[in-house]
Amino acid sequence: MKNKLLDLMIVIVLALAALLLAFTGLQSALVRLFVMAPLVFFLPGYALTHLVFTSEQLDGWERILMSLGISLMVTIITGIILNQTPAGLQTTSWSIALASITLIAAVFALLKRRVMQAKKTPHLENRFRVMPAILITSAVILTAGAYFFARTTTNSLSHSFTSLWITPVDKNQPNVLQVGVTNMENSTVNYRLTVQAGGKVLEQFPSIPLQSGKTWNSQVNISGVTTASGPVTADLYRLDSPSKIYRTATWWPASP
Amino acid sequence: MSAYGLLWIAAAFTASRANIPVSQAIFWVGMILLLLPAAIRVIKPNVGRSERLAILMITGVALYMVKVLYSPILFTYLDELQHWRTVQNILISHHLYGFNPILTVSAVYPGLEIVTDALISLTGLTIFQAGLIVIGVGRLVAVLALFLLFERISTSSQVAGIGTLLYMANPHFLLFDAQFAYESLALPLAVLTLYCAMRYARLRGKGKLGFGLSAFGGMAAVIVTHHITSFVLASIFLLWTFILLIKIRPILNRLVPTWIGIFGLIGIMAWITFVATQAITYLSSPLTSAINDLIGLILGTRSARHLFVQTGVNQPDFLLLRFLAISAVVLILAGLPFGALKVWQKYRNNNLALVLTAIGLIYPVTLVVRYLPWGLIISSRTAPYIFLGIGFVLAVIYPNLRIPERNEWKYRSAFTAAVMLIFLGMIASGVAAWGLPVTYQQNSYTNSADLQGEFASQWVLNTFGPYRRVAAEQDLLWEMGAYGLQRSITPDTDRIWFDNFYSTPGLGPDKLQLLKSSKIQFLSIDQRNNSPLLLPKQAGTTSTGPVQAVPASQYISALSNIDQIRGISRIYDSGDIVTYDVGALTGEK
Repeated sequence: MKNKLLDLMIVIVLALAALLLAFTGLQSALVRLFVMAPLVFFLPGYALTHLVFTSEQLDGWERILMSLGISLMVTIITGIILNQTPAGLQTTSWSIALASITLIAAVFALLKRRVMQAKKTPHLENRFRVMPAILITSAVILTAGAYFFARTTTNSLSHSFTSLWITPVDKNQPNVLQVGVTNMENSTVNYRLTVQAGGKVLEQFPSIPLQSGKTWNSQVNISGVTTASGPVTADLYRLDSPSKIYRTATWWPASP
Repeated sequence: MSAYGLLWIAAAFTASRANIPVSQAIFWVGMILLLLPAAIRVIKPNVGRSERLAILMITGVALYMVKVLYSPILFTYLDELQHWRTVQNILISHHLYGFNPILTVSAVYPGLEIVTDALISLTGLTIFQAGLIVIGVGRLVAVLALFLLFERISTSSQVAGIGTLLYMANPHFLLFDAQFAYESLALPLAVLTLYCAMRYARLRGKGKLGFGLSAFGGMAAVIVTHHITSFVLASIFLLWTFILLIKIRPILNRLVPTWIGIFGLIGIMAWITFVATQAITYLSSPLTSAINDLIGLILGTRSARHLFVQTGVNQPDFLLLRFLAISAVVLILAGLPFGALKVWQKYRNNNLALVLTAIGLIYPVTLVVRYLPWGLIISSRTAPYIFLGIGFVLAVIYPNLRIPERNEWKYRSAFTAAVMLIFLGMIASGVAAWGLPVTYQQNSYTNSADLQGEFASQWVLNTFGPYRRVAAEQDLLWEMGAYGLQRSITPDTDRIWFDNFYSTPGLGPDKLQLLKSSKIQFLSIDQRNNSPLLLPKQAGTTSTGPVQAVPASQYISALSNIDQIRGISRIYDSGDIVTYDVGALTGEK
């Protein structure tokens, strides 16, 4: 004999699991996604539909709709209310608020169902059919494939670039500059960097091999450089095109 | 088959980004593969209810995936960047209503961002990932709610299926209402609210409470999510009330739509008064412009908008688009009177059916409004609402025809062809506005992914922290405000325009003065705007006449002397994007 309270008990367990997860701070992205996402999109609404609707009022599809929709409404309204609290909208307050709503609604729904001795619990068609399952699985795989294909090709077809920058290390050290290079060229590139001021070379970095996606930086001391000699100039070259300045950055020292 | 169609579309978008000419043909093949099998099955009589609904949900999600494939690694539409900033503000401050310089009104309609923040806070997802999921869930709600609404009104799952399918044909469904923006979540909530209100109105005795609470809760959620949708929803309830009142003697406990409509109006007024005062300025501007255009048109001082002006890049073949779009409009206009007649014959006792018919019959008016220069924006924004009516009215035609059984397949084929033509025509008009995705072009609506802009924006944030006053043009300004969390100086928020930077050569005293008076710390320039490939396509028509594109040579020379100006440091160079620290001149540090 089926446990007629099983669905609500699962809801209660999931809500408690979400609460526990929020406080343990477990970092696993997948676990958090599969436990927490239902807390935002489904569990509050599902529990509330069982509390305020009778099983005759909603068929399976309607229950799914109301579970999703009411969860969205509850989340939005909860957010407006949480905003009035000092804690505001953050992990602990969200988990406590949504889990509490779900737990209270589920417990009362459970009690209500026991009292009413509901003869049946609403459920979707529960015959498992092989062909639809195969088709749906194929569709999911094809869709995921389309997405990853689009993602991969977008990354590779997006314009590649190298960035160069020059800034003071911090306010307290105006004579120390940081120069940096990031390679987003989709391949390893070997760079050369020259830092000069007033025609005088302050620093040379003759070879900076950098893999795609990596960043290199270094500090340059500009003590003694004044605005009279012009800005400090960092010129970046690619070693496969050594005579052409690839990127330029400049910094005007503070006036004495 | 929908998934197979998506593969074709992914290939089409990739080919478009690689500038391969057949990309457009591949795209249309993909759309037909995605839609035609679903249309054939949904329109067919004697198909199981669950099967119809499952097909529609898969189709709705598949159409959403088209938008995801369009921008698979970053949000790229300007609206998305604007709402991104609101989410960022909430994540940092843990409170609502933080100032959003790139769309102030987004902060005061935070429904979408609240749900996104909840998901991010609890799961650790990125804004992009969470945003995709939230809009996807909204899409599911929209399709389900619409089907169930139409089914309850018509008592026919076939009518419901066709109506939902036709709703999906609205030109905003594919891209605009699939973006990470407040309307995309407000619409599903609005349809759900209508459904709950309808159930609430029809139920007697106990059990109404759930639907009543859901209807009022839905109305409240819509009010705090999107201004226009809340106005439209309240108006629908009031229109419903009007029809109710002229049909029956007012009985207080039957006036369900009245109470929800009144609640909606009071809620809207209260929200605008106490939270969202900037919505008045934000919404009145296009409306005022449209009214001025209408007056100008009548008086002969303004000319009508030219239809079918190309505005996007890499658009599909223009003649084909025009044919599809016009065919779709003609079919809808031809079908509306027949559908309205069928509604009157079969469903006139259902007040919500009459409401939807009235909404659908507004469609011809929206076409006329398109001739106004500002009318295109207003007319196109009505599509998601008008199609609630169009979908239902056209859906009742075929199932209620008396057809001899031997000819049934012919009528069904013709109707399916008509539905497909409407679908493709409306998609054509939507895609025509934006074109297929390409590698970066100015105007984010055709941008595939501006990784360089995102990187440049995040570099400023990581190096200098947030909320610095930044000037840049168009896309980069929004990216600085969103990804960079900077205080972007925008025309809408600050009433400061930097257009003359690019229309006159050099960085002279007047421009320096503008930087000083605006207290700019960083000036970012996107040199991709110089591309001659882009400039001819940027010309368009506004209410003041055609916009002249700035010639490339003039654009390049506009800031040519900036590197020579003492005190302006060129702190960042990524080839296309250059950022200058002008704080030494403006006093901003």
